[in-house]
Amino acid sequence: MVEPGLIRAAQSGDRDALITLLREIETHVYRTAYYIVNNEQDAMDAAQEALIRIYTKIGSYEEKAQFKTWVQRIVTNICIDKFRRSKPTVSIDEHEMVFQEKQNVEDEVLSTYVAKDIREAIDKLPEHHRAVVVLRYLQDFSYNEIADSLDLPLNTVKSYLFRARQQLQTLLHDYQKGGVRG
Amino acid sequence: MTCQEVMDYMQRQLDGDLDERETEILMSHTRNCPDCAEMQERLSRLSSELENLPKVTPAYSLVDAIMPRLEQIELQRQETEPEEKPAPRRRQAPDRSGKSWFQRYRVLSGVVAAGLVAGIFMLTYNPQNMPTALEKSSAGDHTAADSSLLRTNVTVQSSNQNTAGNEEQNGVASDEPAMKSKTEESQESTVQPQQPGQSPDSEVRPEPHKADSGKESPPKKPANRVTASSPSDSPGKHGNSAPSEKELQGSEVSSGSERSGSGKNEASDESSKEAPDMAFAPPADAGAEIFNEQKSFTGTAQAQQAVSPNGLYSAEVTDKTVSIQSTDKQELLFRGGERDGVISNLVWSEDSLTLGYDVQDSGGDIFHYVIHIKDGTETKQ
Repeated sequence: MVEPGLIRAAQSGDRDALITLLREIETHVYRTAYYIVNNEQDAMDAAQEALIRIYTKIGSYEEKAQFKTWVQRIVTNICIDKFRRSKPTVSIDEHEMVFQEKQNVEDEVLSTYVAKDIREAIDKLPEHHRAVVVLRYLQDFSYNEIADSLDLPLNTVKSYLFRARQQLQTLLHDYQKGGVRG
Repeated sequence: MTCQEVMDYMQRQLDGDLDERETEILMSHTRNCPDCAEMQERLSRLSSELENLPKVTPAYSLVDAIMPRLEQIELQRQETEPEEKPAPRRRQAPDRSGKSWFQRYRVLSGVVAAGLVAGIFMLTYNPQNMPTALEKSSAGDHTAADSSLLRTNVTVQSSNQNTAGNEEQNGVASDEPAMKSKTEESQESTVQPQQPGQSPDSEVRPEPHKADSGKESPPKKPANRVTASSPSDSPGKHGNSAPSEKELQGSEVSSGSERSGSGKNEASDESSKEAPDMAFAPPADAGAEIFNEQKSFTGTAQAQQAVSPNGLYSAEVTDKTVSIQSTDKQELLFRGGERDGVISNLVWSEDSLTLGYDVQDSGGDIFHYVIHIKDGTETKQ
């Protein structure tokens, strides 16, 4: 949480305050970028670009919005617009509400998904679904905060998040069944 | 309640979005529906794993990494506010990013070019000497540019008690008034031998750049002449017996560009003269000080104007063409083709990268054109 006073100082032209502010948010900016672009180098680039944009646009931030959602909007936009790769994403509808066959519950409890598998699964999601998941889980954002950040209606946010989780669950389950994680 | 509806509850439960009554409904369903119970189990496991994803941090400080670029942004901002003194931090952290240097090169090139033209003119102005001087000046273009560059550096150094290194000059240079007066002094005393270290740096390419502006060449010289012999010109300057032609060029160059600063009336002449020259990129270091001389090129015909959202560019309609200038330095960045019709609706894109405008021809048809400022192209839509 960035101090409102710091933000105001930065907006009023206090350059040191602005730099301090950037330092406070850089990790959050990077983290979002990292999980959206799923690549360290691109994440560094995207995060730097976002910070520069924040630096130059700080004057346009209005207090009626939360600062953190304003920041996340900038970084997600950059990630989605500039670091879009043509890569296969799953169609989010094709697995809709398929209930899995029963498995040995004990097996599942013992095995935990490794982070890498989860990242790969997240990477397969369509961009906005991915962004919703990242904001929900890496930034601890509420539905409303996600809606503000991504400029999406609240219901769309929920629908994206629910479908994304459903999709991830299916993908990870497939990994597991395919013995991917050995 | 169907399993499908329960699914929605499960999802919302993961986000803490269920009230007590809804929680109860969910629980009672899953108690009796093993499929849903299992789905709930999986989803909540997934959710907690998502929550436990590594909280990655950048490998190095991103703010530190972008500092040079931020400095550059500050620098550009200060250039847009001429009355503001440059902050000392510019000196502490010289800019290294390629872009920023590029910006400076462009400006420098303008002044070198202007000086070059002025120098050539001064040489050729001597009527007796005309043919030979012309020959010489085309042969000696490099040296002319060299000395103009050198001159600028010398000027700045003298205003800084000769302590400044090249980098430091950038910071010092913007001290405009001081520099102005020193410039005058230095016109008298400046003449210094060409420094060996300077010349490789100063390998400007005036030729191609003259070619760029070739269209404007013929009117350019007269225009320059006016400038050069404007009232502030001290008499006897021409009479100054310079040690060598090289030197003469140099001193004329610096006086020429300084004078053009005071000659506001000729500003539009000046800026159009400057403009096409921006295309080539001369070396670094002398760039910043040049800014200040250039700042005084103000005042262009006020026609239809549109300043870009980022405040860096100003577009205007003149003589059936749309031209774009940088707002701070009045350098012409782009001049569009001549349009046979009425130009209107200058509209910048939000990112300040493109400018659109409409042309209504005599038949009343409206055509839309878009200028891409970055690559200097203009397309008909």
